[in-house]
Amino acid sequence: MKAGGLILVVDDEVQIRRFLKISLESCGYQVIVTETGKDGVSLVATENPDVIILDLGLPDMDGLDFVSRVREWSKTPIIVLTVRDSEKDKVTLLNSGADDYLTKPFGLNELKARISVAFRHKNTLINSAVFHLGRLYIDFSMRLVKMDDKQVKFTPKEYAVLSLLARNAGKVLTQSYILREIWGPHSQEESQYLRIYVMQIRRKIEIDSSNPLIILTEPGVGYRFVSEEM
Amino acid sequence: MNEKQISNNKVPVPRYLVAISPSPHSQFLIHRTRKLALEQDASWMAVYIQTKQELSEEDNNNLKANMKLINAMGAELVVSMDNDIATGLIRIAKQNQITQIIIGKPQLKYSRVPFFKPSVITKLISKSDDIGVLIISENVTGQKRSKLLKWTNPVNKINIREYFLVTLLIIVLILINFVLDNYISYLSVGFIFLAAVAIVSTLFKRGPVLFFSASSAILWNFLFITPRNTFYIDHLEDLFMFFMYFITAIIIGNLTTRLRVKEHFLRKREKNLEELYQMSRILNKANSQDEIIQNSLDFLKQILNSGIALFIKEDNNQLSVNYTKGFGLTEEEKKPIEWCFDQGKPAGKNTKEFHSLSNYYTPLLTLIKPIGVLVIQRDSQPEFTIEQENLISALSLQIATAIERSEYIKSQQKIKLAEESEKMYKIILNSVSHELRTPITNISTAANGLQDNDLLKNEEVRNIFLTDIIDGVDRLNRIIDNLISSMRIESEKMAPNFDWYDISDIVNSAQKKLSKLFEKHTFSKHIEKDLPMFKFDFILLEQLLTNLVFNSIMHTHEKSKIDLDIHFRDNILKMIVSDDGSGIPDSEKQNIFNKFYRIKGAKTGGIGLGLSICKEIAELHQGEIHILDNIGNGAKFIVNLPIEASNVKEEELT
Repeated sequence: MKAGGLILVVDDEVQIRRFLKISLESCGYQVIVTETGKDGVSLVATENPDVIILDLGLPDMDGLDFVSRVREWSKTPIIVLTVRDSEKDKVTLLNSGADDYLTKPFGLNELKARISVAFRHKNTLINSAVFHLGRLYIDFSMRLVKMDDKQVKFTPKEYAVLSLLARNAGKVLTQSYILREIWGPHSQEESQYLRIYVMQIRRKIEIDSSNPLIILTEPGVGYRFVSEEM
Repeated sequence: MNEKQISNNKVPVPRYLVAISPSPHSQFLIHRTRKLALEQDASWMAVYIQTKQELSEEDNNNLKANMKLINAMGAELVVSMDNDIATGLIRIAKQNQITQIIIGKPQLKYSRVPFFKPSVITKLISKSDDIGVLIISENVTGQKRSKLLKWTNPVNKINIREYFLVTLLIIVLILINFVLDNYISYLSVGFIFLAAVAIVSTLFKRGPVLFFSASSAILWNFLFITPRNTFYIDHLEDLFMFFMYFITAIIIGNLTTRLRVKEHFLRKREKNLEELYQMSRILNKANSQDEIIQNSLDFLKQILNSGIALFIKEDNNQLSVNYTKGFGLTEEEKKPIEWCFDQGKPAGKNTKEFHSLSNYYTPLLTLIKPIGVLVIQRDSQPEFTIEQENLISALSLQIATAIERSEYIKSQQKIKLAEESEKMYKIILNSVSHELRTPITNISTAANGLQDNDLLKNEEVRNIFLTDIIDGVDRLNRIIDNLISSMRIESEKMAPNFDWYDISDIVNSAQKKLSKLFEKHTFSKHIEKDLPMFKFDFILLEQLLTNLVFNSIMHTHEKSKIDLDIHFRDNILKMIVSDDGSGIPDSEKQNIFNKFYRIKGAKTGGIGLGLSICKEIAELHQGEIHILDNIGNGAKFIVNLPIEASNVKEEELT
């Protein structure tokens, strides 16, 4: 797949840097690498990359620091590489401006999918009035959802959750973000409602709601609506 | 010593008992005894026998000084009540396996003149059997012995009020008898007086009673026995009667007061014993150090009726308040508390040190070292009596011992824990190094193979190598996941992250993780329809399920059938993982949930953590896990989780 675009890799491990440079360049991206957070921040400023891949656990800078410093002036998508068992850190990072995460060890295909989603979402949400994925068709302007050309009824809240997820297709959305977007700022206690809405939406759009293929659960983090790339 | 002991071929451990009295001479005796004991590496104790004699204030102070000296030396002090000093000493000596009693030889001019009874020393020697008696002569210079051992019984203070009352009583009685005199004879009047003596002796102290007895006899003679208004007595019979009356009255008075004094002492003693007993009951009931401190000090506060505070030496060598009830402490009290702790002696009010302060500080001494300081609020309360001081020191010894014991138990537990973790460490090292090495070997062999140009050309071989590498990495990952989970669960910081989730999400997530392994096995799941949301920790519960299913895959033959059944009944979420493998022998069933336990001859690929993590996760959700035999063959793991289910009905949502 030839894509083009500039990717900045910030990782202190030489193997990962080498692997990412070789494999991403072979996909047609331009890649610059650095091993410190400090250099990373200044490279964001000077090189203006399209996507940043940030490894957590840099020796010189906390990942959260990096994200918030970059977010002071840049909207460049940041994909964070984490290890398992840091769900809280992931959520904190996502809520403070990181766009997505990948748990190590990860496959190259997974990373490429994340990168292309990041490119697509760079700057804004999907603004097109319609969304199409497999059998599912959503017309945002009409608030209309169709499965196999048959209209499916959604309650207003169900629709709100579905459209929020679909507009961010490919991207992970944290639970607290979804709650804030739909129920307002003081709604962190409503998580069980969110689960129930997601379950109901799945029943309507998934072939097997107990084995969902469209709305995926990201353990301990939130939900991800799949996109064509995945 | 005696022949019996020598023939028994036992060298008796010398043990000294020093008899102390309120005499300043006792201090000399105490020093001598200590020296003697030190020279022979022997133990010693001090005994004070309390007779029913009351002590003058000076005696009291001397006695206190003597007792403080003993406390300061860290020796055992026993205070006992006995009518006879010698009997009491022998009794205590026998109870404590004493070999030598040390007693002072009183100087004759001050000593009690032995009118009727043999002296204490004579009696002691005659009764001592095989206990040695060492008499040390008095050589106190410049210090006068107190009045105590003079013949007369000292009375602390002449109680004017009591004398006034008995005088008043005599006057009233005489007036009544004057009235009655018209109807009854002077003999009956005598009996009324005698009855009054008996009553008075139950109410007043010895002095007023004797005064009442004597004066009533004289007044009876003077006012009622003919010829009246003279001391002269006509008839021999009357004279005889008068003397009989006089003697009877004195004896009644004396006897009754003696009984009362004895009863008073006994009651006091009983109260002290009761308090000590109550304290030991409180201490025995307490489970933790905290409880020991709280309960015993509440009790102390109650019986002393004063504010109490306790300082305990912490590990960081700081004396810090562990308890305070009834009053606050000021900054200036730091010094006396430190002093009291360092010296192991009481300080504060009524002591030599820091006596200007209003509180009393006494160290909590154990046999080994002081462990803290007890502060008792005194303010304007009167000085402690000897009994109170003894009680306080006995109670504080009890508290100190109890605290020490609980600390000892704690440190024992720590040692045991350290030993166990040492053992655990070895097991971990062994199994981890083995289990890590196997996949690493596989990866390295495959990677080396890939470096070989000839082998690299063969696509089939190349794919085998690549699969080996990926499988090896998966295996390493699983081991590390389990190690991390185990550490997370064990570290106390780990608090489960409970939230509402859909149970089928964890099933999917676990299934995805294990998908590669399912290729060679049949996996089927039965999840009850329309389950509500449950509150649990997603990551942990997913790990539980992954581990259980992985365990079944690992320990069953290829193409085995693995079933997952999830349902919710009676507020319990049940997850059942069953397989048709060879099952688990009954003898192993109780062990398989232990950490790092592996069934002998089990396939490599795990480090014995998986099931122990399952158990811990189930318990973190207040649930449990157990194993049964599957119908037919194989094993059946059952997880019961009493977790909270959402009661939000879908219809309620809009």
